[in-house]
Amino acid sequence: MSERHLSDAEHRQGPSEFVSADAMGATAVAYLVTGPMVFGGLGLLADHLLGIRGLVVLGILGGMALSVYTIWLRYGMTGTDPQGSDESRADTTHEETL
Amino acid sequence: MSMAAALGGLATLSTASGDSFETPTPAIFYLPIIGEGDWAITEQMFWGGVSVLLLSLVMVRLSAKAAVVPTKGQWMMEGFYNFARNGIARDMIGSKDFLRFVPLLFTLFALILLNNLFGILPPVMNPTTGRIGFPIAFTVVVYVVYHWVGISRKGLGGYLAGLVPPGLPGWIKGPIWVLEFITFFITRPLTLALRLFGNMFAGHMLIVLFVSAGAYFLTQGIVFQLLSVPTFIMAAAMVLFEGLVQFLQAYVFTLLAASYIAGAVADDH
Repeated sequence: MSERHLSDAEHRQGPSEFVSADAMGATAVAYLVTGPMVFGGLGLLADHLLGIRGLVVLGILGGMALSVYTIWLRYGMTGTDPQGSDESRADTTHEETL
Repeated sequence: MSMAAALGGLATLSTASGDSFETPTPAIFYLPIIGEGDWAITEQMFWGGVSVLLLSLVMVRLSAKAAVVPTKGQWMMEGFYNFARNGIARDMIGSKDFLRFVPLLFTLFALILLNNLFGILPPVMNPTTGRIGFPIAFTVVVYVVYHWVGISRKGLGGYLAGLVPPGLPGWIKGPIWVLEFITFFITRPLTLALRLFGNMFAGHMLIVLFVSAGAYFLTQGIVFQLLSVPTFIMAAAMVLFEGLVQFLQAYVFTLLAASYIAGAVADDH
């Protein structure tokens, strides 16, 4: 039963790349949905209260830009190996690992 | 679903007389055993309970006589456990903090996997996670845990302040904080529950569609009886495909749960 005694290194391959990508996609989608919805909603509210039009469009576009910026900020510029070792994962936040 | 509509239309055309094919609707997921309406005890609730009993029995039995030289059962059990322990919990959360979350993550993985697999396992043949209540319940557990961990570690103020990545110019912090707050507290748990539900729901609908269409074709003329052969082959292919999706969705759900916990335990920069 030598398979039971895999060395630590063999266990540290990280989650499957395919599944990590799927999880990353879910995280990105959460941001992309939130930005336009929240700021579009705020724009709609402001339009309603001020009796004008157009802020809703500004809110949706601004929210989308903010979402993309946040995704880039958190996940886009790590420069580290995404399948890094366990040690490096231990002291990084989830921002770099997922 | 255009394919469903096309199939339905085809079948309806074929039988000017007699009964026409009815495409499956979401009503196929409502299977009450006792009672009616919102408070009915459903088949899914029954099988959900069975899954808990079954997993408990198997795991207690296989781990009760754990030995240095394992039996085949213990060996398989340990492989399955290590997959969640090392492949998900340790890799996502890091070797410093992961151990106390392993029971939760392993339980989630095993429970969701079995309840997903019920979709292709006779005699159940219906994924219990295709009812929105199950994904919501799993998500509520994850939701409470990752916020609780984050707040107890950094304090409420520290946790909320830590939502914004450090090193940003002041004017953009406000909008980003709002975005992060809504994402952390509303959108993430929502997508977590909905992706599991949606995958299981749609997969089961597809299987039922192909099986019921094939069965319907058998009752029609010779041309349609021949057509039922590829239809049943598609149904079989969908069952295999669903098996893969069911595993992947249990995996992704646990991985996302682990990554949310990892975000909550991560030290501030």
